[in-house]
Amino acid sequence: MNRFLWILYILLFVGCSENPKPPHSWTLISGREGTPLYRIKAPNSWNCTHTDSKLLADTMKALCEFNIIEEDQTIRITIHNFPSNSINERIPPMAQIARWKRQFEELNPTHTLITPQSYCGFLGHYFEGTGRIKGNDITMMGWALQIAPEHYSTLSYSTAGFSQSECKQMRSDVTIKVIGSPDMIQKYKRQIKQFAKSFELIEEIPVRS
Amino acid sequence: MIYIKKLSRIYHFLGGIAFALILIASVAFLVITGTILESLTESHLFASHFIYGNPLFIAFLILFFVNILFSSLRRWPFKLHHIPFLITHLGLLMILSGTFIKILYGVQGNMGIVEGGGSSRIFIPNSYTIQIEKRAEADRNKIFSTSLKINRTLFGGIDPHFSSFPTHSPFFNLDVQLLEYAPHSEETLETWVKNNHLIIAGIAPLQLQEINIDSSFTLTPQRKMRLHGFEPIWNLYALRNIGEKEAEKIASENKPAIVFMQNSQKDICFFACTADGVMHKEEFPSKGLKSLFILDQGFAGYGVQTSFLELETPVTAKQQSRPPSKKLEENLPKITLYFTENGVSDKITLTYDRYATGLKWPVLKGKYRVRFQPEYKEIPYHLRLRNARQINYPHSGQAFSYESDILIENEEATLSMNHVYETWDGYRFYLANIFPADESAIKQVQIVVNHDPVKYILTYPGAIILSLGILLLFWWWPYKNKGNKNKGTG
Repeated sequence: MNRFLWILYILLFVGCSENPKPPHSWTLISGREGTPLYRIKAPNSWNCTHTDSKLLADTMKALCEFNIIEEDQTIRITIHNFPSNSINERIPPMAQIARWKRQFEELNPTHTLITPQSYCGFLGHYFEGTGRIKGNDITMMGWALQIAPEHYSTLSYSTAGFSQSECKQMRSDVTIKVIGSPDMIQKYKRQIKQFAKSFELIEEIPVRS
Repeated sequence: MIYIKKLSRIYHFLGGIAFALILIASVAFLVITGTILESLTESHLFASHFIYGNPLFIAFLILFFVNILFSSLRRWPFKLHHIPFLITHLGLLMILSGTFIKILYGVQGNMGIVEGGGSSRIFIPNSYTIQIEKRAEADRNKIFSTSLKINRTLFGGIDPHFSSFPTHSPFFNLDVQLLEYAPHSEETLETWVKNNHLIIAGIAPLQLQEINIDSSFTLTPQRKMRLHGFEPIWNLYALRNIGEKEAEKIASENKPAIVFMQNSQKDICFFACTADGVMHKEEFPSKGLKSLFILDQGFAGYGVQTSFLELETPVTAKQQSRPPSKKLEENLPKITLYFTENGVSDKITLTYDRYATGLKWPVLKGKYRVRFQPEYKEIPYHLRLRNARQINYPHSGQAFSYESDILIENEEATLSMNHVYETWDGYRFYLANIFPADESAIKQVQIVVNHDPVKYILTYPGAIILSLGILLLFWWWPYKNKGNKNKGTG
C-alpha cells in the first residue's frame, strides 16, 4: 500500500510538470542600411532568412523572414520597417491594419481583433483576423508599430553616439506580420506573441533629461 | 580625584538603567507624536521632517548607542555568565551602527524610466537643487552641467540665504542668488494665448474676442496676413468660448481663414480653411505641450507649431503662489533666482519639477539653461525598461498586478508588486508606479532604489546575534544552574 502511495505521489508531480519551453536565442535584424538595428528573441527551431543587404533599400522587401514549418504547413512571419524624414510622413498603424484587412477576400468579423500596443518604445496596434485569402482559410496576426512621438522627437536630432542616418533608421515604423493556417496559428499563438513582444531596438533610445 | 569621581558617576549614569528608561520614554513620546502628526496631516513627510529626520531624534539614537556600550563596559572584568548579556548588547550595537551608516552612506531614491529608454540615475525625493547646463564653445553638442544644492531648514523650508558660486569650470564666473521663495505654487505653460491675446511668431498680438453668432457666420477678420510671402491673404480670427462647429463654420465662410478658438477648458482649437475649401483642424490641450519644438537644444527656448501652415508660438511658464498644503508631499515650491556673470544679469522664476522631466529654461540670453529639481545620484547599475503592464483580474478592468520587464546591466528581470530585484551588493529595485496603466501611450515606471551598504555586514548579523543573545539569556547553563541552586536552597 505504501509503495502504491509513493508511485501515486510521483505520478502526480510528473503530471503537474509543464512542458519544457523551447530554447530561444536573440536574432539581430539589420535596418535598411545593412547594419544591425533590431533584435528579437525567437525559438531556435524557427527558420530565419535575412534579406540581402543590397535589396534592403526597397521598403517593400521585408528585413527578414521567419518560418515555422510543421509537416506540410508553414507559418510565415515577416518584419518590415519604414523610415521617414518627419513625423507627419509616417503611415498611421490603423492604415497598415486597414491594408491587411483588405488582403482578405472574406474576413470573419467575429474573429477580428484590434488592440493597442505599447512596448520597448513602440506604440501601435495589434491585429488578428481569420478569413479567406486566395481561397484558403488563413489567420493573420500583425503588429503595426511606430516609435512613440516623444522618442521620435528625440531621435530627430543628432543624439550623442548616433549619426543622423542611424537616428532615421531608429525612428522607423515597424510591422510584424504573421500568416498561417488557423490551426497552426492557434497552436503557436502564445509563442508568436512572446516573439513579437521581444522585438526591440538593439540600442537604447536616448532620453532627454 | 574629584573630576575622576564625577566622570565615573557620569559614566555609570550613562550606562545605567535609569538613563535607558529616560531614553526609551523620550523616544516613545517622539514616535507617538510622529504617528499622530502623520495621521492628522496624512503626510509621512511632515512627520519625517519634524520627528524622524529631526536632529533630536538622531541624537537619541546616538545616546542609545552610548547607553548600550557603557552598560556593557560596566560589566568589566567580564565573566562567563555575562556572555548572553554581552551578545545581546553586541547585536544591538551592530544594528544601531548599521542604522547610522545607512543614514550617512545609504541610498534611497526614485528612478523614472520610459519604455525603450534607460537610466542609471536616481532622484532623491524632497531634495532641492538647481540644475545648470552650459554648452562647450568648441562643440555645441557637448554640454556641461552642475547642480547647486539648496539646503532645507529644520522644518522643511528652503534656506532663504542661499547663494552660490559654482567653483568649477566652466561655471566659475557665475553667481546665483535666491531672491524669493514660496512653499507652494502652480505652474502653467502658456502657448498660443498669453494675457488674453493670441500670440503668433512674427505677428502682432491679437486680443481674443467673444462674439455673438447669429445666422450669418461672415465676420470681419481681426487681421489679414500673408504667409511666407507668396500665399493668399488669410483672414485671421482669435476667438473664445464659442463652439467648435461655429469656429469651423467661421473658417469655411470666410476662407481662406485661420481661426484660433479658446474654449472654456482653456484648450486651443485651430481651424484653417484654404481658398479651395479644404479644412485643417488641430487641437492644443491646455495641459501638456502638443507639437512642441525645441529651439537650439532649449538654450533659445521652446515653441509650439501647427502642422498646417507651420505657425509658431513660444512657450512660456507662468507661476502662481498657492497656500501650502498640510500634506507636504503635494507642495511644489517656487523660487526666483538672480544670475550674474561678468556684469550681465538675469532673473528667472522656477517651480519645483518633482520628477525632473520638465523643460529646462534659458537664462542669461541662452548661455545657460536651468531647472529646479531634486538632487540626483548616479548608481553603479544601468536599467533599461522594455515593457510595463497592468494585469487585470479576468474579465475585469480592476488591476491584479503590475509588472515591468527590465534589463539590469544586460540581465533580464521582471519587477512586480511582490517581486523585488536585488543585486549581489545589496541594491534593491522596487516597482512603485506605472503610468499610464493602459496601452494608449508609452509607459513610464517609477522604480524605488534602495541600498544599505552594511545590511549584510552589520544590520542582519546584528539581528541574528541579538536573537541569539536573547535565547541564551533564558537558556544559558549558568543561569539554569543558578536557578536550580535557588530551588535547592528554597
